Amino acid sequence: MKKIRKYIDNSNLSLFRSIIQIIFFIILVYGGFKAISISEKIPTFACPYNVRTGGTCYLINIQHQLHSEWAGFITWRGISVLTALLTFIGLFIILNKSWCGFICPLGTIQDWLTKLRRLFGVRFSRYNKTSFKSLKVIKYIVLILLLVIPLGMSNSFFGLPKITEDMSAPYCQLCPARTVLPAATGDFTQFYIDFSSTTTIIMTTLAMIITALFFVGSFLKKRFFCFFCPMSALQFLFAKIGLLRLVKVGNKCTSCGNCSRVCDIGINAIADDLENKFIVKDDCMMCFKCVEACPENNCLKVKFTGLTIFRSTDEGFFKRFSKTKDYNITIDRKLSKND
Amino acid sequence: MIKSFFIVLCITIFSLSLEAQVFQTEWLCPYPQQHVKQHVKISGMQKYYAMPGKYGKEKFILWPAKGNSLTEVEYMDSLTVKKSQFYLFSPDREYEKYSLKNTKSGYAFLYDFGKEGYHNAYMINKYLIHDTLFIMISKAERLSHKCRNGHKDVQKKIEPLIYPNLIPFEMIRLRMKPGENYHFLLESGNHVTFKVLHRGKEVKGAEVTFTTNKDWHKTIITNKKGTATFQVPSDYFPSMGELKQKKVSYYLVKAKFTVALDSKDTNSQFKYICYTCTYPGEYIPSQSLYKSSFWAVIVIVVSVLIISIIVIISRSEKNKILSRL
Repeated sequence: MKKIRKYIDNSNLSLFRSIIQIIFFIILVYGGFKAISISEKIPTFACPYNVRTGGTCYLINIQHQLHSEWAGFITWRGISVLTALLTFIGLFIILNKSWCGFICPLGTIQDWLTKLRRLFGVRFSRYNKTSFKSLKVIKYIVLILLLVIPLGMSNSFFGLPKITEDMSAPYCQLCPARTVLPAATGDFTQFYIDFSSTTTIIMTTLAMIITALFFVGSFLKKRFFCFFCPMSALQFLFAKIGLLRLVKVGNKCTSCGNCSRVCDIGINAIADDLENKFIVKDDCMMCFKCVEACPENNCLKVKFTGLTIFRSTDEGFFKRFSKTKDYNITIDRKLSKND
Repeated sequence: MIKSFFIVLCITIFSLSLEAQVFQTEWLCPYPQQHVKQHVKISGMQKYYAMPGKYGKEKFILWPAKGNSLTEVEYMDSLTVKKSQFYLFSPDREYEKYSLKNTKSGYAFLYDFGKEGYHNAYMINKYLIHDTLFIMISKAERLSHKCRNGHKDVQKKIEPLIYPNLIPFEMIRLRMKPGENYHFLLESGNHVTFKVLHRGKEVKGAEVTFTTNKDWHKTIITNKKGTATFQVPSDYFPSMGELKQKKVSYYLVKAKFTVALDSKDTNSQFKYICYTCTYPGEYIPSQSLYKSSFWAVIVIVVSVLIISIIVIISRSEKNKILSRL
């Protein structure tokens, strides 16, 4: 048993994650070619605009479901909204935000763009503390808008006119998954500007700008889009009830800062927070790179239903980082040498 | 003498009016009269007219109508459709509930959408004139789909359904291949094929006329397979500044076929049966008129250039600050 424990703790979780990501990318993006359809309630970014998709994003479901008059929610439609939400929460309780880190195909593409950047030897970007604080609010604003706009299409708020039907599934119109994931199957039909109305011109132009931002941003900044993703915000609302948890033992932390440096999102709180036990922040995607990079025994742990499945060890840290050249840590060493 | 002359005159007028009625086309009209449009709204992806119902559930509408063309529509009232037979079938081939009501938008055929797939609505009228029985079948196919219900087995669920035992003469629109799905809406430029069936069997030589609401029309005789193919015309051209590119237009297809009865059947009141079947639908201008991939590429390239320049400038500024330190 001890040997198994040691083997797991010393293992290269990033490699395992990459393999899982490739498998799920194939299933969720190309699965439709083999008639695979996981579900319509799973919170994937398996975008339905990709004809060959192997699942459907929950965000398109909820936007369609909320496109209803108030009275509709006390009938069958209310039940369907509730069941979809419960299925989403149910799956989320099991996986917590690791869906973002391990399965989301849009996240996988961003990780591949990061690898491409490393290949070209281009320096990566990080937000400073002020930008980090102000930008992280965007995903909550997007989440609120994507819930309110569909409601406003069927209902009048404060006597104002209803929102035009051209705003149907507003977030999907702007989401880079709509253009990027079909393109991964060779379908470029989602790249267009729709001149049929003022709203469609604005929305499709914005979508193309966001697609450009997605590519440049993800190339220069790790997991660039995850920072603005409303799915991440929605998932965080239920993070506290997740069975999969990232646990920190504050008194074992030496505040070396390795965890925040390897963090793709750039969460500083993971290093700074010595008080809280459960440290999944709203931007966290549960990739567990922080656990891999932590040199302190049992300081960071990945737990599932209270059972430790992966933890930080000094042996594991040295084993992993003597083999791989993690860019952030290398940079950090260089910087500390300069200091 | 005067009395008998009056009776003959009445019979002649009645028979003439009946003939006039028969030679008018009947159909289940998918759009209302202009002056009552405010009472209904276009709903959903398929652009069907609907009336708001209880608890937000909409009632979809078809208006029994007749006329010589789509521009000369006479909406029927409860008296004129008194003898008509109405049917509504679900995608599972089951009878569905409907109601015929005098609504604010006129006398209408109202129905709810239940199961996913095409619902078939029919109105049947029969007229006997001289030795010919005219059977006029007005058909409408209405697609029910909500994205939240998923997109499984689309091809199976959108297949056209026929009811040869009940509806002797049918016209079906063959589904576009490849690619027709729940989100399909006929566009100008599309080739659309209609198949004419008599008791489930393909009819060769039937006369099929495709008419648009701008009175463009074309008649084709069905081939061996009982099909007639039309290319949907583009007859809506907005001015430069006008942004109503997805304007819905309407078409009506009418198939006509006459069957001579067996001469041995002397008991029959008629020698011929003249079948007509009408099929209305919506179409929108071709997407190529308002969607541009070229401009999308321009926007992306320009955005990438601007973002890259911003990043390069900000990085060089940072480097300058670092080098000063």
